[in-house]
Amino acid sequence: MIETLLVGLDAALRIDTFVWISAGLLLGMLMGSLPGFTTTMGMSVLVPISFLVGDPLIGIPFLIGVYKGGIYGGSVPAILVSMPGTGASIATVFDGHELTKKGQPRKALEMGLYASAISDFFSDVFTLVMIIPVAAVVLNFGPPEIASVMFLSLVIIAVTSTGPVIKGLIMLCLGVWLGFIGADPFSGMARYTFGTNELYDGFHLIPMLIGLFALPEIFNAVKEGDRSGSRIAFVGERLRLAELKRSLRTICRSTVIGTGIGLVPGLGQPIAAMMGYIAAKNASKTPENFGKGELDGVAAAEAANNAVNGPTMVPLLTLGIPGDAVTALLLGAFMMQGLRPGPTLLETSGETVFAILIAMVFANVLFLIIGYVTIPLFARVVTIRRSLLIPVTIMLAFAGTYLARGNPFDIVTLIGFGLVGIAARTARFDVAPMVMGFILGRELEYTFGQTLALAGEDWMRFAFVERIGMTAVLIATPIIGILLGTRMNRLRQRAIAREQA
Amino acid sequence: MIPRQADVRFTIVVLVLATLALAFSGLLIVDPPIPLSNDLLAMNPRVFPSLILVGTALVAVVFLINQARQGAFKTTGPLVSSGAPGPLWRQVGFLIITVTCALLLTTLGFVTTMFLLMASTAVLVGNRNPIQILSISILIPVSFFIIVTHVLRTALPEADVIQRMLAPLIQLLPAF
Amino acid sequence: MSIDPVGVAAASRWFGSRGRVRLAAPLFCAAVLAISLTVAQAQYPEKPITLIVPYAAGGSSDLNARVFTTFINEYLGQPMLIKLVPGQAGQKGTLEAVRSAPDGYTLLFTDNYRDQLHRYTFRNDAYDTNTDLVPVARVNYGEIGIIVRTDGPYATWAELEADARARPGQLTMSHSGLWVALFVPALQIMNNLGLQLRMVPYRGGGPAKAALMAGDVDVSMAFPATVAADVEAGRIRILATAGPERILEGVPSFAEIGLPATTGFMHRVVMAPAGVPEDRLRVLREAFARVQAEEAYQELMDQLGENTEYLDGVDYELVRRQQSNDYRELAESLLEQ
Repeated sequence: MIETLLVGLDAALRIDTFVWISAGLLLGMLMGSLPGFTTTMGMSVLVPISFLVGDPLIGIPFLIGVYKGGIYGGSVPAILVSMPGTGASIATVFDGHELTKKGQPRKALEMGLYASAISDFFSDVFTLVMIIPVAAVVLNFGPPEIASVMFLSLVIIAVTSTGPVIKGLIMLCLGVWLGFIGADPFSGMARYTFGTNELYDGFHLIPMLIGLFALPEIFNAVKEGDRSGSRIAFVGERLRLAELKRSLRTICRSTVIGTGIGLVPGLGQPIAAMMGYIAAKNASKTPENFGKGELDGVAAAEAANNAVNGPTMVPLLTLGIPGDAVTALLLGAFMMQGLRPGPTLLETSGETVFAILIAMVFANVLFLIIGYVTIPLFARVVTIRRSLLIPVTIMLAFAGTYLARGNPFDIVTLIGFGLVGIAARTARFDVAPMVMGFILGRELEYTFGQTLALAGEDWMRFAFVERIGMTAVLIATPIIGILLGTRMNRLRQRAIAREQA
Repeated sequence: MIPRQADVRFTIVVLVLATLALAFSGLLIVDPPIPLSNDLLAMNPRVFPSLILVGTALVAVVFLINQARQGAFKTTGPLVSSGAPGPLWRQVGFLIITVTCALLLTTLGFVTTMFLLMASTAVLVGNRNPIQILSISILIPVSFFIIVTHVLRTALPEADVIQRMLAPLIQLLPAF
Repeated sequence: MSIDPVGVAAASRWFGSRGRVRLAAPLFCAAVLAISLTVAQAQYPEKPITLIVPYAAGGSSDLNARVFTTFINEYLGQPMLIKLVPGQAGQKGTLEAVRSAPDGYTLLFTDNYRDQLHRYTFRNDAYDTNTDLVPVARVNYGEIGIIVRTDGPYATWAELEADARARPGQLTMSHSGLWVALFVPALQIMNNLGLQLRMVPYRGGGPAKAALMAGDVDVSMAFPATVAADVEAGRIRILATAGPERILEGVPSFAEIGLPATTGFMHRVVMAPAGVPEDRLRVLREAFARVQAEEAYQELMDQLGENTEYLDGVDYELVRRQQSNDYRELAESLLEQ
């Protein structure tokens, strides 16, 4: 294996590969920063280009660069205008936008950049070195394990949301139920659609995100009226090395969490970002600052969601099985280049695979450079007068929503969830558990159904002999839930006492 | 009659929704035309939603009982309050405008609707400079439209009138 | 369409001799206009054709479509552009195609399950594929095979069948979703041979295969092309393949193990909305026929692992009727249970 690695290393060190990766990164960042223009859309537009290039060592790293750039790009509108363009940037909004409101957008963007690059780098190296054992692990993660981990994540999210646990639970249940509207994942039967065609596909995530997170902010500005209009935000200072060092621990923790979640097929970036964020909040000495503009929060979320990329490629490369829409696109791109991802790929074209992976690792370095240069430009966006920024934001909200799917019903979703977001904010309910419930609920139902089908009648044997991992997680879930819940409660009481003192 | 606290009101709405959804699940969830046995169909479409709805209702009830014990149902308040030092018209106006623009997007076309939306929001947020308002409300939707349709090759709803007006401008740009 | 000189002469004589001179002029103008319009339209296609592909991005159907649309441009004179419309098990894309104008500029890429089976399994008042869609060409077909792990307990189909009979409802099989390529043949096998397997759903053929390899399930199905690499590597064994004859050495065909010869075929078909003029359909069908001769096309399909068993649309109608019968019987037998 070392030999193939070295040959791959040699193949990857080419100027044109680097140039194309940089182009991909830049394009990805630009496309990602446009809410609604998902990375999948951008990549499918660019797949023909990668094919025309002809060389898999240029075409594929180009697409991967687009992918990575896109994930970071999504954090830009999340931080600047509280508009998460994808599920991965939800957790970034919490502290990222607060920092912008405090006049520190540049610091937030730079922290996101460094956190993303560092964690992605280590996660890619891990993938490169451990690709074979990782493949075996991934294969053994079946529906029962996935379902139990998802359930655990849901419980953790409900219990650690801002505000009392019971409010978090209500929002979580509501979000899960909203995910059921649409076609049943097993039989395709319509649920709660009142016979309409539009609802058959269910609510689309992007207008929901934009509606829940961005519209209430705009509504607030409207509420304040003339007073808010003339305010200008500042670009703010650069990120200081001391601040980055302080968050290194969080970044490491998030990298581990993100990589771990990347190993479990079907979980994805939104969960990684949330888990990273929650873990950081839990481990912090000042958890009450989270949600009010804590840099560590941005670092935690961004590091975690980038660390997912590396391991996600493993099932694709080793088994030819795409885990999500992006890897499905990559599969098509691979095949167009004449590579057939699958168990024999490593044996027949091992050097190419390693070269691609190594190019991915280098991409992170290029990523840092490009981000460094483009951030000041991005940050400048918020320096225009607020009475002009708000109209632009709302236009972006509408346009981005329509762009995502070209479906006019999405605009209805946007406004609908905007109203829900406004109502929730007034009632002091945290919308994060609702969104995560929506994202996870559907997957949980599907994996739960799969688990039932796998178990059959003899479920005792299934639970305790065949799938002991699942049972272990299930037993641990209420314990973890209670422990975390009480801890969060205690911390919150302490913070309230401190404020009143 | 309606308790004052916003979160209590919100929860009551959720509880009512959940109960209704549970009560009417026969109508709301469609049955498969070919019934399949358990061996073939992994899970009935009703199982999970019913579970979740019951859970939602339970949690909502617990919350409301808690709040009732803390006296939430004793004080009542007006149905809607502006919550800000100022009249309600700004917020209501904003909501009406956004909803209207949402519904009119496909009929009036992208550029026109965005123009209306941006201009009215700018005014509501306090901008009084007509030059600024008009320029961003025209320039930004138009440039966005051009970038998306020409560079990204994605469709946006647009009225014929506008498309014909913009066509010569698009011809000037280098083809991709 | 050409101008018929005899007809024109006859028409002018009719006008002159019957004295309907006052009608002649406007009618003549109208006739000229009509004829020139049809002459102009004879250059179909004049603008790009949209092919609606109601499948997931990157899936085998998407890839198949990309291959043949790349080559058919030459023979049509205009590009055939793919429009991916996934969702609702293909119903969304099909609806869009059915509702489009039948002028030959919108086509649909679909398969026989969606065409003939889904009418029984999904509630749909919006369209009827038998009356609303006309086949242009069958691009190729896939023959499904039954697969197991090599290190599992089954070396032949007979062993698997015996075990399934001995333990009804205990053997698990992974499939790629209800009523599609991996599920329907399995259902037909269970029906025809009186077996009872427990079906576990997965999101697609890839995860279904992974489940088999991980040992989560006992048996699965797959197109031999998609598991060729695994068979070579000795991880997967194919126990039977669809069709009346053997495809692989030593592997029995479905007909041999007691199933109808048409079981387990997935036909990939290009269809047009009903009402497209015959001459345009002819242009399309000719183009598809000529693509088959292109070597590069054959090679690329081969690389994808697919065959190029082209069948003209008219001939496919016969297959379609057969499929219609098969699935009606299947649906009826399921409703009786």
